[in-house]
Amino acid sequence: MTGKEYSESGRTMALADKGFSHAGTGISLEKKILKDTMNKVFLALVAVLAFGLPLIVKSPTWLHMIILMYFYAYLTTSWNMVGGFAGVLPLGHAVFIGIGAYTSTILSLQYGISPWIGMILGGIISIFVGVLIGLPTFKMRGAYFALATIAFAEGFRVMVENIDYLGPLKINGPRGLQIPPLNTGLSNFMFTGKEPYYYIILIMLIAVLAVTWFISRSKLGYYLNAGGEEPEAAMALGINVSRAKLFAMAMSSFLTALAGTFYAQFSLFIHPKSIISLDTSFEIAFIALIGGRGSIAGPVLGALLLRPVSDLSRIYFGDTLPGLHLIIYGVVLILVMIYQPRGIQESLTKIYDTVVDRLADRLKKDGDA
Amino acid sequence: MKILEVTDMVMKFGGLTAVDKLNLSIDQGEILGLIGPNGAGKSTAFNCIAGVHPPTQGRIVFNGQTINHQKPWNLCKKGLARTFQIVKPFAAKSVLYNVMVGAFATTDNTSKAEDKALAVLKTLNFEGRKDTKAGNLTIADRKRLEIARAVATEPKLLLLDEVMAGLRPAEVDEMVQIIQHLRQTGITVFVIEHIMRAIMALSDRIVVIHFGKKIAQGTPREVASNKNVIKAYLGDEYGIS
Repeated sequence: MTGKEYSESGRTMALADKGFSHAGTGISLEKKILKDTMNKVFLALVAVLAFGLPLIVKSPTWLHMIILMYFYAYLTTSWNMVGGFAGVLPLGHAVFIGIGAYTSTILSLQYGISPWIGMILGGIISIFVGVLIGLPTFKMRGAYFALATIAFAEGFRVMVENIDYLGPLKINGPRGLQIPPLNTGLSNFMFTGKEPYYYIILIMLIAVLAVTWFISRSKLGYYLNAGGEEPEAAMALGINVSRAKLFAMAMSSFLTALAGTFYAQFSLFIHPKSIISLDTSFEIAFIALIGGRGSIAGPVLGALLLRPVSDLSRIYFGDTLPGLHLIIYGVVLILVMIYQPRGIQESLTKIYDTVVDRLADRLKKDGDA
Repeated sequence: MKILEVTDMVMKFGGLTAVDKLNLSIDQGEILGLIGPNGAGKSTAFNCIAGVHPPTQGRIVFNGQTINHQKPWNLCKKGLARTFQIVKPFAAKSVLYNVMVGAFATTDNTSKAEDKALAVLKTLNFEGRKDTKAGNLTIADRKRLEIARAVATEPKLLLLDEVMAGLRPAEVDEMVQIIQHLRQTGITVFVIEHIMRAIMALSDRIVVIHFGKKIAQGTPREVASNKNVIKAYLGDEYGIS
């Protein structure tokens, strides 16, 4: 039952990504309107399905998996603003997850501040850290930038692991922080069931997709793409490439930190190894590369495809073959890079377009007859 | 009125002097050609004016303002646009997308940028290709795309760096027409070119440089018969006969 939902919502995103190229391809206006309507109907259907899913899926295990799937789709979409549009490859985004998680958790544990407020504060701190990372590193190209971000993330993790107290703040080094599940409720961002978490991450995902859609059609989106592909030409066309990239980095850091708070409240336990791990940073990049970097649909499709692989391999092979999912990711990545260098979103978008096109033709014929 | 005045410009890369005390000026509405043998420092001079390299010495005045240490993106906003000798299209994107990037220099609104880009494509007879991916264009069309992008930023002065190199004769003629048309729309053009037929037909005045130094300037006819120019292009033996 869930399988259907995955592929369906994947295609919606593909459609959102495409809308632009329809204009002026010589198709009749009538058909274009028909197709637009079909796309809208399709989006609405997917939305209804996504919001109704917890009514069908009752098993907490499955729901947990789907929540993590959305969580990774969210993370990768946030990453995509820098890693996709701006054409660089940051491999240290776990830093921002960590900042988000620790900020809100420390504030709520020690000062009783609602995690919702901590979430925003964590985001703001992340903006500063993101810009701090970006200022010196955006001048580097290719692998050097990626290595610099890895170095920063690992350094940050080691620091957190070795600090018990930062002034009055209890960080608790490698032991991490546990959130006692006492005061449940919306204002405390803590719930007994999984459904509220499902809806929160779903709304966050929709919001971040909307932001991405908006950016990709705005001046900033054009500037990021141009600066990522040909920085010299972009500069000659009036683009301050570094500033555009820093802006994208700031947004990406902010949004990623929000996910950190979500994860802390969802798992109620954070420690440096799990939350600031390179594995997470790499997994985000894997999902983006396989799904399709720089597209709107890519990160979502990538997460829908790869997260089940990761979860199921952990459930069934966790004891005998730990880390199997990374091997599978590697193989899938190689295959995708050989046959679909722009990610699986490209072919899926094409399939969706063809289907809509045929359907529109048929509907039109029926209407004319 | 002078739109660009370059005074005693020197550009050194370590011990190498690529541009040596270059003086030149362009009048509003003029087409000025810059020629010289390979390695004469033409593109370096362009890069200095366009803000890629700040010159070691000298003064560059554009539209009444000294622009020595301005960044390329600020110069573009002031109305100084350029193309690249080695074309740099945003290859994964459509022609329209490429030109829209340029159009965003004067507007923040996506649909306005699109309208402007379409208008520019129309003036360059390039509408038919608007949905083609820039990476799939022929070399002639890539050069035309370079111009279209630069024109979309609404420049007062356009620096064209060898936009005709590698084109067939018929394409060269078309490009000459395009550039003449651009001048009619009020853009001053400063052009580097190797194809003599084109630059002779196009330019109001020509400046010749050799080893970074200006060796001649004047109308195309004057320059073509200048002794120094003939020597620089053909060598000493041909100098006097």
